[in-house]
Amino acid sequence: MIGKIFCILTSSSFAFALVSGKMNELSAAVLSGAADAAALCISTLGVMCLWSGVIGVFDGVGVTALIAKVVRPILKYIYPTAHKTGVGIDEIAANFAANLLGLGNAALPFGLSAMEKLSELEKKYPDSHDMLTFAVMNTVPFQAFPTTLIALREAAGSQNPYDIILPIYLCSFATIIFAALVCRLCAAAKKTKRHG
Amino acid sequence: MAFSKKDTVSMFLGGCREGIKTSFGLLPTLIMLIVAVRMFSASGALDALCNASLPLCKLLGIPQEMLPVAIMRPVSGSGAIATIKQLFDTSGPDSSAGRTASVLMGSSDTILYTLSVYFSHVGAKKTGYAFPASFTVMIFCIAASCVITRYAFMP
Repeated sequence: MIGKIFCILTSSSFAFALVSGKMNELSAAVLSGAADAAALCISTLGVMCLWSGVIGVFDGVGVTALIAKVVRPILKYIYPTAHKTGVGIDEIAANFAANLLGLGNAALPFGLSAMEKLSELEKKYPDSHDMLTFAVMNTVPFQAFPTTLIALREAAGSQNPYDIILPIYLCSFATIIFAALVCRLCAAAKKTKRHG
Repeated sequence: MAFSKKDTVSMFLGGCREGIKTSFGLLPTLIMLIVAVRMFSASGALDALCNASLPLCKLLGIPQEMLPVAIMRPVSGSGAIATIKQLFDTSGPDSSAGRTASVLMGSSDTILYTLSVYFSHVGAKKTGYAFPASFTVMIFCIAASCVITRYAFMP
């Protein structure tokens, strides 16, 4: 699927650039895009290492397991197999907590290690949908405070840059519920296809 | 106390080393992603897509000024920020389009980035229903942000 999406993106870009004579812009975009990707990787390297280090300490000392214990009752319904077997549930919980606190930089390494554990889980339990569910749930954020957005609104001269916060909470909440439902439905549809 | 028994320094350094591996492991995915998205917007394909979706927008009652934000949001984080900035400059942050786009921006994320990074990290080629499900959720989020904003800021 990822491959298909990139094929469509790049080939349609080529076609459009050819037709509208924007080949120069296109080649400039390719070069600057590759350079910016490397720059992004380097500029986030420090924070990534820092948080991975903190996570290493948290795992060793037992903070991760403690967080997992607290949020596990909520996650039980979304990730049944991980909850039952205990594989990856600590990482999922830590990722969830980091997202909730607005620590996006910490959420990513937790999320990636959760994916590792969940892909192992999927090999053992092919009927489990926890990895796919986790990936989909991670495309819906639950930011405690949308800093960048508020800053942008303030800079644009908004009368009240904060008045969108409550609607955002409402919308996020509705979207999260909807995402969990969609995952459940997809999992159920696949199961009946396999067994029935 | 647990802290004194265990060697926290080596835990931290071990974690840091993992972080370096993860960061550079993600670089190929990032290059592919950012180059493709830049190509898409530089070639004018993005503008064409926006124009093509205008009638649909009118039909559904979505403020049409926020369309570039809605299209860019699942594809690129920095791209979405650039489009919302433009929207704020032209329509104002307190216009209905500005508010709806803000709500959408705050309650959605870059699907393409998240899914590519997560799945390529574990080397999974099959992504199952992850993409269609995420885009369905995104469409729901666009609709929800329109409805919620309309009721939240009723005159």
